[in-house]
Formats: sequence, C-alpha cells, structure tokens
Amino acid sequence: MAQVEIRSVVKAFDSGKTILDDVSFTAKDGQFVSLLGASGCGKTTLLRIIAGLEFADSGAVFIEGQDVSERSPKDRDIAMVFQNYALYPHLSVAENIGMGLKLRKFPEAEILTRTQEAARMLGLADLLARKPAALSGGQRQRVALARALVRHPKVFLLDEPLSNLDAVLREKTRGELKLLFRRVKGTVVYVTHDQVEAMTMSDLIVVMDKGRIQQAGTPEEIYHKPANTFVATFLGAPPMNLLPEAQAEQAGLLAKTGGGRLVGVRPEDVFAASESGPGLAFADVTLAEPTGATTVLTLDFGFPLRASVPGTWKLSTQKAWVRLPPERLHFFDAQTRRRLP
Amino acid sequence: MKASRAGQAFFALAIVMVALWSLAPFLWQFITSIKSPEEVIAVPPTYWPSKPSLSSYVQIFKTRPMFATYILNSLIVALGTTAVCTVFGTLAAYAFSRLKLPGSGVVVNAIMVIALFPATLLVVPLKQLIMGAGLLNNPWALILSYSALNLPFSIWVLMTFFKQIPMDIEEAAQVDGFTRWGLLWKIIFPLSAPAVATTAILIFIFSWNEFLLALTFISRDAARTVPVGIALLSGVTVYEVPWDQISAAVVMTTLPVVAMVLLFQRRIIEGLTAGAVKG
Repeated sequence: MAQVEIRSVVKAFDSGKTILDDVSFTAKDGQFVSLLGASGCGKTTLLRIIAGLEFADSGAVFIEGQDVSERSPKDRDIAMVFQNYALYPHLSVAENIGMGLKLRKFPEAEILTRTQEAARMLGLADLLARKPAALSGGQRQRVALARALVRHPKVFLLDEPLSNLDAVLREKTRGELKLLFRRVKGTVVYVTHDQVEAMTMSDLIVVMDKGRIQQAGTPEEIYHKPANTFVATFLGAPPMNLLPEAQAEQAGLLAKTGGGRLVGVRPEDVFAASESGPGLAFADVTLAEPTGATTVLTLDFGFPLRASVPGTWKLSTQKAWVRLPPERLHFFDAQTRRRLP
Repeated sequence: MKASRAGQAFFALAIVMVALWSLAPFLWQFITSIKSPEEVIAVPPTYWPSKPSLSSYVQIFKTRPMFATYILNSLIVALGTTAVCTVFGTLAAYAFSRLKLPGSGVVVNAIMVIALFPATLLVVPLKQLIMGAGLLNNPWALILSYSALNLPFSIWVLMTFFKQIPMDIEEAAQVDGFTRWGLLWKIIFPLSAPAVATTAILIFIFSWNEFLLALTFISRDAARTVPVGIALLSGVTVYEVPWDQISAAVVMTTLPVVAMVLLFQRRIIEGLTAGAVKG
C-alpha cells in the first residue's frame, strides 16, 4: 500500500473551460480519502487523472513517492471501481475478477486462490460461474469490488460506487466497504457527492467546488471548522444557517456590536423553546418538518432561520423563543467568505 | 394480454401468407428444377411435376464441368470480400468511434458520400483501374471492388455499434492491463459479435449475388462466378434454353446463403441474449 500525492494539478477541457485549478492533496498510506463535491466540480476528473485515464495539463501525480504522471493506467498499480461497474458482460464472474492477474501473467493456481479469496470476502463464492447479466445490481457492484481487491494494488480508486444501489443497500454497503478497506489496509481515493458517505467512511475529506479544493480535513474539522461558507453549507442536513451579523443583531439573536461579518449556525445548535424565557428572541414558526428523531423548524425573523429540535416538539406550536449559543457560532468574512478565527 | 384463439389462427395464417409470398419465386425455381426438360415448357404449365426427378442436378455437373468451378470462384470472392470488409471495417470503425484522430469526422463523412455512388456509375472507371493493375480475370479484381463498395456500409454499421459499448468497460480493461489490441480482440470483438456477424452476412450475400462487375471484369470462363455462369448457361443450340438446369443451379447457389444465414442467426441471437452491453 502506498501514499498518493497530487501536486498542483491543472486541467482544462478542449473548450478552454478549467476543470481543475491547481489542486494538491496527499492521501497517506492506508488512508480513506473522499473527494466530495457537487457534479461538475472536477472530482471525477481528478480521480481519472490519478488513474491515468486522463492526463493533467500541468502538475504531477506521485504514488509511493514515484512520479507516475506519464504512465498508463496498467503501469500505475492502481485498481478502479467504476460507477456503472463496467464488468465484462461476456465473461463469467470468476473471469471478470481474475482478468487483471491473468494479464499480469500470474500462475493459474494463484489466480484461482486469489479469485476465490476475493469472492469469499464479498460473498460471491456461489456466483463465480455466472455472467454479469444474471446478477443483481448489488452483486455486480461486489464483483467490481472483488476485481479491484484481488489485485492487491497500491491504491484503490472508487468512482461513486454506491450511487446505483437503492437506499437500503447503499446504507448497508457503506459500512461494509469501510470495514473491508480497513481490513485490507488499502489506500483509497473515493469520489462521492453524498456527504453522508464522505462523513461516515473517510479519514480525510477533500471538499471541491469549481475545480478548486475548498477544504481538506478530517470529518470533524470539515463539519465543526468549515474553512468557508461553501463548505459550511455543503455539509449538514439541513444546511447551516448563514446570516449577516447586522440582521441577526436586529432580530435580537446577537448582542449589538455593529459587526459586518456573516454568522453561521447549524440548525441543531439553535436553541428553541416553546415558552418565553430570559435572553430568548421571539419568532413565528412558519414550518415544522418532523423527521422522527428530530423536527426541523423554519422560523420567521424577517429572514428564515432553521432550527433542529427534538422529535418531542409539539407540532401545533406556532411560536418559538430562540437563542444562538455564542460558543457554537461560526464567523465568516462577508467579502471573501472565508472563516474568521 | 393473451390473444384469443381466432386471433392466434389469424396471426398464423398471416405468417404463412407472407412466407408464401416471399418464397413463391424460389418455390417455382425449385419445382422447375425437378421437372423434366419437356415438362418445363409444357403448355399449360403444371404446378407439380408428374415425374419429379433430381436429374437436372446431376446433369448440370455432368454436362457442364465448369459449374463446380463457378461455385468455387464465387466462394473465394464472397469469402474474400467478407474477410477484407470485416477486418478493415472493424478496425476502421473502432478507430473512428474511439480514437480521437484529427480530421476523422471529415473522413467518415467522405466515406458516406462515396457510398452514395451507384455501382453502375463506377463500372467503367473501375474496369480501367483493374486493367491498369493487370487484375482482369483475377478474383482479386472482384474482391477489391466489392470491398470498396461495401466497406463504407460495414464501417458505418460497426461504428454505430461500437459507440454503444460503454466507455467504462474499455477503461476498466485499460486498468486491468489490456493493451489496445488485447482490448479489441478480447473485449470489443466478442461484444460486437452480433453486429460483426450481421455485417458479414450482408456483405457475403452481396458478393455472392453480384452480377454487373463480375460480368465486366471476368471474361475467362474458368474465372467466372456463379451468377454470371448461370446467366450464360446455354443449351445445345442457341434456340434451346436449359431452364431445368438453370433452375437447379439457382437452387444450389441459394443454399450457401441460406446456410450462412442460419449459422449467423444463432450467433446473433446468442449475442443479444447474453445481455451484451448492459453494464
């Protein structure tokens, strides 16, 4: 297993549109790194550059300290799981899994043992003779994973591998994948647009937008210390409230200081009560959305403020008294939209 | 919804009618071929021979030693053309559909335009080219010109098919360690077998049946192909047309085509039911 280092990668499409703008990050040996962003942010292109399926206009890719920027995919010792699985439809599951070893001229006996081992790991042992057309979506997805695992590559590259599964299977597979890659101690670069996947699985999250890295950090850092307003609002459901400081002061949510910053507060950090109390600001409840464990309130302060309250909140309550805990506030520069210390 | 019994019967009847309509000329040829020479020209015509016999099938080989040669020539030309078109068509179609070559769009359109010319228009210039190359009376004259006429078709059909194969599969193959040739040979060709088979059989049928160029480029009897050979079958005198033998020849030369279709048909169905390109 190995460290992957991306150094100042720049990529533009033929049309001239910049898709990656000076991107650098490092995935340490054995780390699970997620590239998180909305579609079109460049995360898949970046993964394809690491794989060697596309080449950067400038910058370099290092795997285990070696510059592999000019190498073709097969000479990088990487394995990739594609979004649509990309299995060979005319070959059996066993042949699909073993193909990479066969092409690298491994002895027949070793291909067999390793194929069976990977198949057992993923619960495919009984399906080895089948063709991909005879498998369910979840099974195909596991064949694609087995095909990657069997090679014992330096790096695993996964391109939204769960996006074609239904919600229940996705939730289950998410945990399995995390355990699986921890067990094989693989360095993983995982592309996703799903913040829950990124948060639950990663050691490091790289949040991308418009071809630039917005923040790279642990899930805790990304969530609790977002580097700018994009990261702050991209993660978290419902997203973080962002208010101009003056407006919040006007509404009585903050002490008057005449500040011009942007104030960020996560809905679950907003304190809301159904009765008046000292230091609480009043608002009408325009919408209450119960989700079971919590209920999301939309409060009208002249601007909407969303608060996540316990599921025991009475839905008939029309009024709320609110406080923003000072220690839970995030401040951003109104112009640069960067986090202020 | 399950069709009613009457509906099913009607459907079956309709199929029989269509089949009869399409097969009628061929059936008439077959019936003629098993009649005696006298009965062929009998008035009024008989719809079923009084004494069916296969003698005209035997006669044609006995009295016309060249007939077997015609068949052999036709096989060489048709298989040769099919091979050339399949090999070059596949490679060209793959290159046009997948490799980003500069100017390939122009070339693809140019190929299409060339395919619009009717063969009749090309007979004279082609003949001059063939003469210049010293290929008159040589099977290569036909193989090369048939290939020129059919390559645009095979390139277009295969190109369309290759474009449907998901790019992901090719990229997965690259990551797995396939070379470009390995990828083409082990992944793309097996996946495109139905399309390649369909193209191949259509080209085979064209080459097997082609008459105009075969008549123009080949004048030596020993180098003739079947369609020309049959057309030039003559009786003992100029006034006698050996219809029974001509019919027998037509029936016999249709058989390889039928065999090809049946052979490839299975391949086509196989390809379709394997869930070919659905990832």
